Amino acid sequence: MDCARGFWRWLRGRPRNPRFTYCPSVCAVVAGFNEEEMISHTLAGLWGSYPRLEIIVVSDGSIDDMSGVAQQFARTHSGVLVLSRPERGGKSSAMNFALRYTQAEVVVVIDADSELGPQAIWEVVQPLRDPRVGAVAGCVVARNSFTSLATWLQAYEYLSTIFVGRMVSAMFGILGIVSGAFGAFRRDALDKVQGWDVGPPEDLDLTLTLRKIGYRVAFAPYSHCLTEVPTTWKQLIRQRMRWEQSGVVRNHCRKHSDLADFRNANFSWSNLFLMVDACFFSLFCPLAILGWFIWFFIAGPDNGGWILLTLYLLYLVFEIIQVASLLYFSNNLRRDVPICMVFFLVPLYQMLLLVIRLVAIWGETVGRWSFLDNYVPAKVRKATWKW
Amino acid sequence: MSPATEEQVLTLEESPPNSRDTFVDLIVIGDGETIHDMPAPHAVRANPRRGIQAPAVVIPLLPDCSPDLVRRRHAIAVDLSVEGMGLKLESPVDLLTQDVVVVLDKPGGGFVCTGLAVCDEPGETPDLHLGGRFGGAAHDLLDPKNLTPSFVASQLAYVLPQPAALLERWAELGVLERFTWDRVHVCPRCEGMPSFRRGCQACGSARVTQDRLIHHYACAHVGFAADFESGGELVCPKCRTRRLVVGADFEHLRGRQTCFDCHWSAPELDLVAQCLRCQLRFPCHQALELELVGYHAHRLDPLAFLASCGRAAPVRPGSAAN
Repeated sequence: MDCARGFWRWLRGRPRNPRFTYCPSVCAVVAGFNEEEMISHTLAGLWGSYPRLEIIVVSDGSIDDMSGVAQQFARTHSGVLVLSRPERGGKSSAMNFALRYTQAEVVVVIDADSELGPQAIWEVVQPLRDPRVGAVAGCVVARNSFTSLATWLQAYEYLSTIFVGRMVSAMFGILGIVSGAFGAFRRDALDKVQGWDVGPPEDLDLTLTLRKIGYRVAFAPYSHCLTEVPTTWKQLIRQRMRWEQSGVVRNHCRKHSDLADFRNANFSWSNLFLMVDACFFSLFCPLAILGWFIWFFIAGPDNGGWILLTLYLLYLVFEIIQVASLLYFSNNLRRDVPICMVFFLVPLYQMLLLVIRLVAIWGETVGRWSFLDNYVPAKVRKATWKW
Repeated sequence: MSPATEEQVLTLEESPPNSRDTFVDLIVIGDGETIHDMPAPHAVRANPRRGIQAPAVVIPLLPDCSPDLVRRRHAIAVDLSVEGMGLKLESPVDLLTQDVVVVLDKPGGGFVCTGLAVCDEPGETPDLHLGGRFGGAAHDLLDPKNLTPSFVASQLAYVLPQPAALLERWAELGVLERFTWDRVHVCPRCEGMPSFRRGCQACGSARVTQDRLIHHYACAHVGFAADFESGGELVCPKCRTRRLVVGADFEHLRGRQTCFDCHWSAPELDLVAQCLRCQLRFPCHQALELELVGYHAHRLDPLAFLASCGRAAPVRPGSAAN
């Protein structure tokens, strides 16, 4: 009986009884563009979730009533400041705008369409007790996991690459990104680098900058942030093109190539490994796989079908190991078990992402496509430096 | 006074009341003539009256212009012109004033009303004829400009030209119709008119200053404008880019507002009202919304009424149509 009760508790969610002893003042920055529908929900979930919390909402040139809705919330809730700018200037400058109006010790960045899990802010600030830590990545999970096959696969991908992948990266000290959807930054560290640079992706760029000046990056696996993921394949491809274009080529290879420079005063082996990890998995592996496929189709071996089937089954074995580790660390099996059921489609999904990555690498290397993206307004794209 | 003159005066005084109409004072009586030798009133009027048959109600006015319900009489309108009308009452009436409101049934349904200054009192005459000209206190009572509020600068408020209680009594009779003329925001304390301005959310003061910030496009830095000023030019404190050009390199942003009076700060100002009468300062949403009531009368248009009765409109002598 006890065994059954224990299993049921485990199935419902592994109970965690963390003792939070570090309680710095926190400023939650919620920057968004045309988030009228979601902003009140986000603010309602955020307000009161932490004792020393102030909230700054930045409406980045919204043409809907985002700032009006936030103002309405601010009138009835203390500690909420709403800043509004008439024209869109990009997410980086919107968050830098908010920085001017807070003296909090920790700045937590949250997407306007995201929702925080219970005690998420408590969880995400705890690693900052260590003064060497400059930034903490929160765990972003999909909210709309079962809306479509695309969202189901993304939900699994988020769990495997963010929840498990970043846990492992942080363990080795080579975590190189704090997601823009949810992350915490030490205020002193932000002041040293004077905030965010022009994106995308401003989150990867800032994380690498902080690592470059000597800060460590930690991961808070149980500080969950639920976010909406693209529901259609078209939206997904567009989003991933933007991420991949501005990823490894623009940041690791061009802007932050000095991260692995021995002559750098803050050189560390973890930064070097981070560079190797990023270049190997995000640049070399896709190109190697492309080369192998070209050889495969040119050579046309007789047992090609069996080779592909074998590769697929091998991939599945690795995915099963991934699922097992994911479920082992999971604190919400009722949510995560159904999501993991899609693992047998993951090899095909990864092939799609591989194609997107190869196209993006080609575009960024040859044509700097990331600087053509309208993620930042034209006036900023025109003025900023093309790395 | 000569005998002839005496006869004229005597004749006038003894003439029947209904002959003392609009143009009686224009009639010249020659020697040897009596009033009975003179032309009938309708023949000498500049605007001859047309005969009609329309049910009507005559409501006399008391000296304070309120309706005299005791002397209210049903009547039949018997003639009408652009300047006056005649009625035949159902019973005699002794008017306290010379002013009556006449409510006429329209041939197609509905009613119209008009104010009449009585010239021809029924008195004890057997035909109970009552005639008069459009005008007098009753006519003024129904004038639209006397039925809607107007702004009185000395009181700093909207005021009805006539007492509201008086108009309400006429509205209860159905002569006037009550309607919402306007809605205005007034002082919650004295109902005076306020002036509006954007001001501090805490104290309402309009003496505020706003942070001026600069957004440098190239590095996304946002800082106070003063931090960019260096040696007479603009230099980005983050990336040290010099000679920044507005529009091409940066834009100005407006930040938080700070009140000079109470040092309170917020990104937005409130709409604050200040009463012009009692000087009370209050947030706009606390203003009292006052419904201004006006009254409407379905006034008689004689020409349209005659047309609806199937009678040709009276034509002025000497006009082109005549």
